[in-house]
Amino acid sequence: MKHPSMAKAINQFLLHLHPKKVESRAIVFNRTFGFGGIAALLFVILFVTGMLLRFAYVPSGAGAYDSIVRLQNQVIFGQLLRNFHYWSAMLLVVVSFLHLVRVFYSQAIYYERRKNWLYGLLLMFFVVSSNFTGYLLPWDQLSFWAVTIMTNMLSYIPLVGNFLANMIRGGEAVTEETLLRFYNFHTGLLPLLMVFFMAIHFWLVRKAKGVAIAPAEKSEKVDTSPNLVYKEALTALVVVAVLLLFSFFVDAPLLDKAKPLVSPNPSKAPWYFMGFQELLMHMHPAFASFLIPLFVIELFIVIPFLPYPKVNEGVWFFSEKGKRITILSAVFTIILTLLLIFIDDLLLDFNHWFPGLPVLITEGMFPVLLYFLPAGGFIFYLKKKMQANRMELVIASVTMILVAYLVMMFVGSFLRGEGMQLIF
Amino acid sequence: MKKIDRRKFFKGLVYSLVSLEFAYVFFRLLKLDKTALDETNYYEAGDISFFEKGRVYPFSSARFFLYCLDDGGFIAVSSRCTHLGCIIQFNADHDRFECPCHASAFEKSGEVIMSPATRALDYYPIAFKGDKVLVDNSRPCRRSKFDQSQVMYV
Ligand code: HEM
Ligand code: FES
Repeated sequence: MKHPSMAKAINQFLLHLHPKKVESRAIVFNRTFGFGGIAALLFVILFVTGMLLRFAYVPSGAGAYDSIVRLQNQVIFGQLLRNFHYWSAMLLVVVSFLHLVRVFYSQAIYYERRKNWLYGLLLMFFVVSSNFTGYLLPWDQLSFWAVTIMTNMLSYIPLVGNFLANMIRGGEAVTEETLLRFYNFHTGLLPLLMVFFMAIHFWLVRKAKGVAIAPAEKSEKVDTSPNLVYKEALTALVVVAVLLLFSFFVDAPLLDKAKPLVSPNPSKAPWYFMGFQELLMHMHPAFASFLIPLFVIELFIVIPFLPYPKVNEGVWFFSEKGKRITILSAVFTIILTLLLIFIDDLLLDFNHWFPGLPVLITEGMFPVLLYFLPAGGFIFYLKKKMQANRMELVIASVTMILVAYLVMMFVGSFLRGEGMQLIF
Repeated sequence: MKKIDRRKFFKGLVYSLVSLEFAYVFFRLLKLDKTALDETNYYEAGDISFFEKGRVYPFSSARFFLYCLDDGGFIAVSSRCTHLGCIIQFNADHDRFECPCHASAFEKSGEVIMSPATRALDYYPIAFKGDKVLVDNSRPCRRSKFDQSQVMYV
């Protein structure tokens, strides 16, 4: 190597993150797919490009949109800078989600990794919040109405919803005040919190002696540098190259300047919240924006703390049966969700069929039962007919939740046009 | 259970109090109290005699529609959809309000005709002064349904 001192410095820096030697099976690419590392890389990219964007951006109702236009048209590489930040942010949401899915299915969240699963969930929350607060900043028709829709979704939470929504917006509607507030969260508080919690996250990975791998008779240790370091560098290079290339050719969207008096048709929340918006179209908001999310979050929190007959750390899908169950649950959920969405849109109108009953029952209980009875039946079938144990049932439930959300996100984003009607 | 002695208890108490203090200060920062600035701020809609019975008049920048009922009463309905906050429009062909975002529809009185909205449009207090109709568009009133008490008569 040409600059041995430089190489040494880099290696030593990386050895603060990694141990000196690692299990050879831990660094096979499809053990982690590098999702955690890619997320960390994206965070760094976002940090740097974000710092640069701050020099061009004016956080005010009058100045925001124009400053973005000026950045794009008059600053050299301004458009590229914005694209790079934008696409990295979108990718971070996707990669964090895949990372979550990966650690769950490879049974890497039990015993000493429990705590890190919780910190991971917190990081996921920060990733989504960062993306959402950044979404408003261009102050165009897309961002203004997306944030209006999303904050109003919060206001359906019983008792505290309105208060919460007004608190986030700083008023009854999205205004310049909201913009300033989001700007400060986006470029101040959230990155700071993320650095802090990422540090804990990494430290806990090391404390658990690296990523989870299945126990084996013969374990072979190899030097971290170059074995792991090369793989990481290569992955990082590929990610940066692909992202840059993509940013050259695909511009981040920018519509007309925000017009608070004219809603576009249709108005959609940011894509990662479209699953919620779709859910809201089918059932009473008390369920769609409160009870169901609460149930899901609670489930995710308790998963690693439940008593299991057996945990197979580091084994994908727990077992061969677990794998079959995962695929089966995914297929079942895709069919059930699509079917019920179409049936509900075309045929059902409980509210008019039972005019005497409160909406909480007609628009709340009925649709919930309609979905959860078949889903519960399916779980029962897995248990009785396939003799699934508790771990496999948890895997099935989580699969159903994730797939249902993805299907709703897909329908809401791609199959709905004007007036949010289905388009075929 | 771990035993909690007096020292631990007071340490915990002090930590919680200090954190609460900070949380409260931050919270007050976000919740700028605007009630002090809020005075009834009547918007002058026009001469009473100008409004024809059974018609709807848009005041889009003030964010309400003034509906003059067939019996001569007035109601000012907010143009903010109760579903997720988009701005509704009056569709003269269907003789009703429609939301562009997710296709909720409302009666001219604000009552829901078509979901996803579940709550009638907010309305604003109305006053009559001289021969003018005044609308207090700083104070939206929430309601779940339309009822006659919300209509104001000269
Ligand atoms: C900013 C976002 C995040 C970053 C930068 C990040 C980074 C990392 C890194 C570098 C690792 C090492 C192993 C790997 O590459 O997969 C890791 C492991 C882990 N992460 Fe994350 N992560 C993030 C979000 C999350 C989320 C959303 C979850 C799930 C709720 C999560 C849960 C975990 C767990 C349980 C491990 C241990 C996995 C094992 O031991 O095999 N992390 N994370
Ligand atoms: S905001 Fe009006 S229908 Fe959704």
